Amino acid sequence: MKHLLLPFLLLASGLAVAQSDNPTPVEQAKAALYGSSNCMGCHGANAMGGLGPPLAANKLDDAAFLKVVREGKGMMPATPEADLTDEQVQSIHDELKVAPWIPSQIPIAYKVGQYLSPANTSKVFIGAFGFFFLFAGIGIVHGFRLAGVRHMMPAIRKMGMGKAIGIFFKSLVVDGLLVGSLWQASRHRWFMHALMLYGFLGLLAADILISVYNPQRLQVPLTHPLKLLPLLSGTALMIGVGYVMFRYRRDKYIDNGLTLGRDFLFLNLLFHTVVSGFLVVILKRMGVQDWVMSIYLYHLAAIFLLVVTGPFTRFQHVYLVPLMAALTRVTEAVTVSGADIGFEREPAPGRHHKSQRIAENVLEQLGPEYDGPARLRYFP
Amino acid sequence: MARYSMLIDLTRCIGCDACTLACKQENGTPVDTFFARVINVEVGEYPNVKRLYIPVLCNHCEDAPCLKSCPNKAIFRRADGIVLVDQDRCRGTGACVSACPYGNIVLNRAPDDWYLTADEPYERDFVKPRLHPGVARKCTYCAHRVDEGLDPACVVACPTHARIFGDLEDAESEISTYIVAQEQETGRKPFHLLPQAGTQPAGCYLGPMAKQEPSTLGQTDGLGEAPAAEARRQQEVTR
Repeated sequence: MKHLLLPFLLLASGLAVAQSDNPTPVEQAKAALYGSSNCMGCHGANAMGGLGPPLAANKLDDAAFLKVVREGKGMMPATPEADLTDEQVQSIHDELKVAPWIPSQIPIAYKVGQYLSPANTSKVFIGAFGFFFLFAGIGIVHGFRLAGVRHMMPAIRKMGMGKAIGIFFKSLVVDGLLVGSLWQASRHRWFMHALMLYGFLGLLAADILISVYNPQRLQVPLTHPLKLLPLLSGTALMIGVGYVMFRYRRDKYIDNGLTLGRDFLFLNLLFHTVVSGFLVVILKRMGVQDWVMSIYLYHLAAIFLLVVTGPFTRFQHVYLVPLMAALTRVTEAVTVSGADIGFEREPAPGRHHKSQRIAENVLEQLGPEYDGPARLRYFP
Repeated sequence: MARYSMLIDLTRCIGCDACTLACKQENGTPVDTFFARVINVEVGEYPNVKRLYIPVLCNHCEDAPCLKSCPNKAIFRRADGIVLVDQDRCRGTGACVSACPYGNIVLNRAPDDWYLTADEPYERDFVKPRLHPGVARKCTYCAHRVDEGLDPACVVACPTHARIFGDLEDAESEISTYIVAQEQETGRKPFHLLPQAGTQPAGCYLGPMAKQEPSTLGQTDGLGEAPAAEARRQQEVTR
């Protein structure tokens, strides 16, 4: 819970800093360069800290200060000479050395923010993804159990394990990755799913690539592939989410009487994630530094919640539907191949094995009086 | 709101399949499609063999896995607990067929075999609008009958009154009083199929009794009356 609240605390305190922006005379005087630079966004209008540490009454020597600015530190990005010359850095440092130390102005954001190093953030996200994969895995195993794969195993073996696995993975690709069943059913719904699915995959891929090739998350031009990929993927996802949100207001089928709240939770979290992600990019380009960090944290918080709630919201249909559809394909193939108990056709594939399981379960619940092997009898 | 449920007393079921046929007649299902079937089980090895009939139909689960696995939101749960497949909305993806742990969802991709010719008014006007080709179908608890205050067709057809349909939330309903009376008189508690699947089914069962007093089986024509039913009747009279 602490981890869940943290980004919101930061957001709230960050906004507080951004709004308590009443320039004092001292502030006005030194705002000349410090204020016009990117430093203020994180280190506060009075240099008493924000997400970054307070810089007022700075004790660093000039060379060390320059080094930190040029190379970055922790969350702080490196600033190249093109953005700030050595002389400008020097004069900012001179301003900071004489800036008054006002302890009451150290924001909570700094006190909390100092724990938010990239290492810590990635730990939190590794934890979140671990949580997701654990519960998604439980859901997947449960899916296999529901389908009665264990009871059907002898028939699957008789048909051929390799053939079954082939059908299973082919269906995962066609029904899952290509959203094949929708292609035949409704083109515009297929298009919407494709936008969201491939947008989401693109964003995931972008994040992994950035972690590998740009671990410091330095600013790159808009035309850089590492920027283009997330931007295009994000746009696709945004259009998809927008369409779904529109459809949720129009479609009478959306409320299935069981999962509506969870469906909305997923959709809203996705919406907030995408919108805050775009806001970060836009505000950064506009130079509205005061807001960037707060919204970035909001973005991270939304992703965190999206991942953590994933196994319980509509997000689960991403892996559950292809899995169950693939299992149905395998079951159908088993029936058609004649490896099963030899029904000419079976409109409810796998039913015999599920009936067998029901029989065994009922005998178990009935107690020792009904002990013994159970055989199903069919009468033509 | 109501919570409809069906109690099946295995002591009373004689495996006659009248429910299966009544369902086929009511819903007009095509060849090979059974919404209410009876699993016929042989237990044990000769000479110690028992026969057990387990009538099964859609359990209208509270946490229905078929509903969660439907990519089209074609499966929905009504406020009274009845889970239905919308025939217009279903695209025949088939994920629900695997998701149902009871094997009670039917998806026939091949063209349907109807018993009557295509132009018979019964199938053309009554059945086919409710059973679209190539999509998932399942027991509806005869929602169209329930909405009119009738019992499902299989309940009406059961010659031994083994099926009791009603509202579990209503303590006065036949199903609720039957459950209470059976627990008091025969010590049998209702159980669900595959409780470990976590689906919280609406349908529940009472186990078979080897030796049975007809009087303990509740109210049935010609079988006499259970003490509980008698007491109920007396209460009504005194009211």
